[in-house]
Amino acid sequence: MILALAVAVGLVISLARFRGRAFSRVAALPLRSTWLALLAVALQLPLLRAPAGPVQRIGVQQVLFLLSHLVLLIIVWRNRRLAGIQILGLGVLCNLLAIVVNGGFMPITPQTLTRINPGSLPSQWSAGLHYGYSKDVVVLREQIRLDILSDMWVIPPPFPWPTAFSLGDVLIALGIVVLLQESTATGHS
Amino acid sequence: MNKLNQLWLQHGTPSNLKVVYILLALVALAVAGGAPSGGGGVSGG
Repeated sequence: MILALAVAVGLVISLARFRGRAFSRVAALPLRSTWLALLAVALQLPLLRAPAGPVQRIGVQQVLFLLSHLVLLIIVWRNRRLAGIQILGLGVLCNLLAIVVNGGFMPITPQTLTRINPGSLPSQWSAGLHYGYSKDVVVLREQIRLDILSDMWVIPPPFPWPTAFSLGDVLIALGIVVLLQESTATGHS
Repeated sequence: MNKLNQLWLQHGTPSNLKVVYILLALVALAVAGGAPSGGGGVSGG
C-alpha cells in the first residue's frame, strides 16, 4: 500500500503548482480502461490476504496474481501515449520479469526480511515460504535470479512502515507522480 | 445527515467524482503493479 503514497505526493505537487486548477486537470487526464486497475487489484486480493505458508498452498492465488499482470499490461498498452504510463509500464515489466524468472512470486531474501522485521533472524525465514499478506516469496540470496529487480531495497525503521521494495516499484511511483503532472499539461487551461 | 446532504450537493459534482475515480484508479494501479513488502505483518516460519 505504500505505493499509494505516490498518488498523494503527485497530487500535492500538482496542488502546489496549480492550486485550485489541479483537480480539474486531474479530471482531464485522458486515461482509458481505468476500471481494469480495479479488476487487477481484485485478482490479487486472494494472494494479498493469504497468510505465510508454503507456496504450494497458494497455487490458485498465484495464477490469479499472474493473470492480474495481463490486465495491467492491457492498461499500460491502452494508455501508452502518456509519458507517466510509459514509466509506470516499465516498472510493471521490471516487477513482472523478476516474478516470472523466480517462479511466479516477487523474491525477497531472509536478510532483507530481517531488516524490515527488526529482531528477527535470517534463519527464521525459510526458503520457499510465502511472506504472508504480500506478493513475495522467501528466496536465498544466491538463488535469486535478476536480484537487481527483486525486493532488495529497504526503507528501514524508524520509518513507520518499514518496507522492502524493488526497482520496478520506484518506477511505478515515479510514473504516477509524472502522470499527475502530465495531466496538468494536457488539461484544459 | 442534512449537513452530509448539503456537502454532497455542494461537492458531489460530476467533475469531482471523476477526480475521485481517477485517483482511486491510480491507487489501484500502484497497488496492483507494485510489489513492496511491509514488515511486522508476519512472523517467520
